[in-house]
Amino acid sequence: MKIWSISNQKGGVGKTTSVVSLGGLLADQGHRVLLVDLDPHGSLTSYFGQDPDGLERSLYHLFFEQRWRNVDYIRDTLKPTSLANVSMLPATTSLATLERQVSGQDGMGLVLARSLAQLWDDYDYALLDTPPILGVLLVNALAACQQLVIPTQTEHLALKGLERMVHTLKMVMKSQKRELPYTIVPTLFDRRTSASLTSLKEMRRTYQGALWDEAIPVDTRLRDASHEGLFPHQLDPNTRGVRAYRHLLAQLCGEKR
Amino acid sequence: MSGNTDVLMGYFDSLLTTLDDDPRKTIVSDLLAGAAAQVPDDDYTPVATDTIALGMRVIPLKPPAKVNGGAINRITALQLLTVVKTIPPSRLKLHILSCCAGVLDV
Repeated sequence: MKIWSISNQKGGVGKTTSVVSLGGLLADQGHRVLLVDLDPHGSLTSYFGQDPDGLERSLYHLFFEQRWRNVDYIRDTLKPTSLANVSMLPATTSLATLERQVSGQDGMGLVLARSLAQLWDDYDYALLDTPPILGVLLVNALAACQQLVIPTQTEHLALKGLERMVHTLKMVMKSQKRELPYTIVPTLFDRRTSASLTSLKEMRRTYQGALWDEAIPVDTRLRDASHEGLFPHQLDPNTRGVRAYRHLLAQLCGEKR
Repeated sequence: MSGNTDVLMGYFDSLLTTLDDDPRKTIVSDLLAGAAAQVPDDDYTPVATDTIALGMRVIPLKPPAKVNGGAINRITALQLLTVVKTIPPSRLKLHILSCCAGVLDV
């Protein structure tokens, strides 16, 4: 199983859209994909028609009574999506209380990694949708993943969030004593605005080497797909957003550098 | 490291370390075993018992008969280990353990 975390400590940068788009395209290539919602807001969970307030089981429950050891429990927690070869580990709003509940317990940053280890042969890829805040859930994602994707909106304030995210990543790598490759992905790019152009230029100057050399454009069809509960490529395989994500996927899979 | 970064590093270390697989636990055990084996008899007046370690709890029961800087340092390090074992895993804890290892020469 390959595990990618889609993370940024700033909200509204396109994390959930990236998870769904990349997950759908991987599934389209025939891979078995698991999407994991670590955000208490449950955007990914809602995307596929599940209610984060109503579910009886979610990622939250794996943190207690060592349920992460129980593969049957984990499999029973998964939910289907609009594609047969894509499943989702949903979030519930109770995740918002996790920080307080597990405070002081050592090793709580490794629960997701251990849960995914139980599903190692069930899926080819796991994509993690993380909350836009530094806490136990983001640490779980960074500890579990082998590759990090940092979607960053092409606007000034998002650059600050990117700076914090890279700083956090470096500290986690130091704590874990391992290197974690990461790719910064400019998102919501609108070539008609100077804010987008200036921000992209700034990103290229500061993060050369880690920055993807293209950008995900603003595309209303991506939003339409979320309304329908479909993966974007199911709605329109040729929309410019999907085409851009296809290029990104090729880069992440090492097909293009 | 800034104070803010130090706090965050302690947070990450705590979240990403479990007692089961904490190599530092083994280090402490090794430190204690090594220290117990290396106490030079001629520096000490034996007292009631011949053991100085009970699990991870260190009780120095062989006070030096004469002033001996090395022995005092070793006893202080052992006493420090009993304190440090009560604090959660952190960068500070690791530093203290490293210092004790240096004093105990193990």
